[in-house]
Amino acid sequence: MRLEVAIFGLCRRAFDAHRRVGNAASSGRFPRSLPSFLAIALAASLMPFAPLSAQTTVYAVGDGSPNQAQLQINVLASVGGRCGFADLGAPSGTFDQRNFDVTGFTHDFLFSLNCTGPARVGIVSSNGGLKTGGPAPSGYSVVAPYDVSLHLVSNTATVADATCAVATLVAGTGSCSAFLGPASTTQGLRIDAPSTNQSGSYLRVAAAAYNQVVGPTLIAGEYADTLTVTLSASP
Amino acid sequence: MNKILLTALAAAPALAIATPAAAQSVTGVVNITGNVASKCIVATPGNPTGPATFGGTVALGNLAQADGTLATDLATRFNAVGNNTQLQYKIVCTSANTNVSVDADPILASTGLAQAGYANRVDYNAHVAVTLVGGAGAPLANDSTAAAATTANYSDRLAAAGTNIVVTADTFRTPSLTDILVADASYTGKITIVVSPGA
Repeated sequence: MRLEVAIFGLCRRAFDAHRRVGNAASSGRFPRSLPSFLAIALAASLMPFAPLSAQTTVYAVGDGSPNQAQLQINVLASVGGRCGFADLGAPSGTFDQRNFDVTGFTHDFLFSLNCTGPARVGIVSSNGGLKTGGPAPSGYSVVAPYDVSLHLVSNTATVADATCAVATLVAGTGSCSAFLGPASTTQGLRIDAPSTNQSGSYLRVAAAAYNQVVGPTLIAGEYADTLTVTLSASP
Repeated sequence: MNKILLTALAAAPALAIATPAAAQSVTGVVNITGNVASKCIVATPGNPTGPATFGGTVALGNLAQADGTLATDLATRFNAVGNNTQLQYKIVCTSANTNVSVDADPILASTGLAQAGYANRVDYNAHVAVTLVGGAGAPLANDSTAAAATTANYSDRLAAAGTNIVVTADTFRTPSLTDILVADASYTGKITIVVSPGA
């Protein structure tokens, strides 16, 4: 007989006992209230449809034995993938390079993922390059290109790497297929393995010295760009 | 009875968390800054010699005509198309304003002494044409007899296309029109042009 049938049988017997005893149940006899019955019924409704070898009868104390039965209730649950940057591990900060057109630059922004499953990282550039104010005179430029690289590490040997020109990371118009942001379950550089509080991931910005002779010549001024890094679980 | 009741109640919250959590998205921001200093860069240098970063050499040949006086076609020789690669340059400056100066030095004999009626010096007037992004700038001129250079500040950038500094010369002369040029294996002069970023 199926377990749920047995439990309903148990409930029915208990309810009958309750009716027989009536208010005299205050003596502590089992069961003593309708809510108790409903709780048992709920428990029964949660039972998996598994066959049971034999029916078990449980008696109220004083009416026989046994006086209790152990019910095995299988609970199935899942925990959604937790994904974020580790505490104090989000990419942040400012990197400044004076006379970058002469020196070039390379800098790594370190960050730590804290994702219990696969994740994706996307990047968006606000200017599509280092940009200074004002219009570009003919033959000159106000935007300096550079490259953006992502290196993602996991708790395993799995890593993910990609590089895009910053000009391809402009939201809405960018063409970087590797990690143009914002990240979503389907967009961004994917790390296939969990990375929980794993250090070693970085965002690298780099440019060689600019050839001001070949041009277009960068005009004098202060240049800036902002990269927004987004992270999403990617089940 | 109590055990059964408690078990049933425990099951309910267990099932309540069974729904997978929604995908989360978090954000970090990094800033990259830098600067480009004001400077000028030689893109087409000509054929510079010595410490110069751009320049060239114009060989005028024999400066004297048959009667010993100064040849009258030196300007034509100097400005000949064949000398374009020596006298036309492209320089770009990152600054919004551009300073240009020109200083012409006379063509002097290396050893010959000038006696009365003779000359060991040829003067001339040097010109520099400047092309800016907005068009031709006011040309500069400096005579080799002048002690100081001629300077100009242009409120514009040098044009980024083609040559933008072009040197010419004219009005070649000796101190006196009838002066006889002394013989010398080497007469040399120079025109010094300085291009710098403006304030």
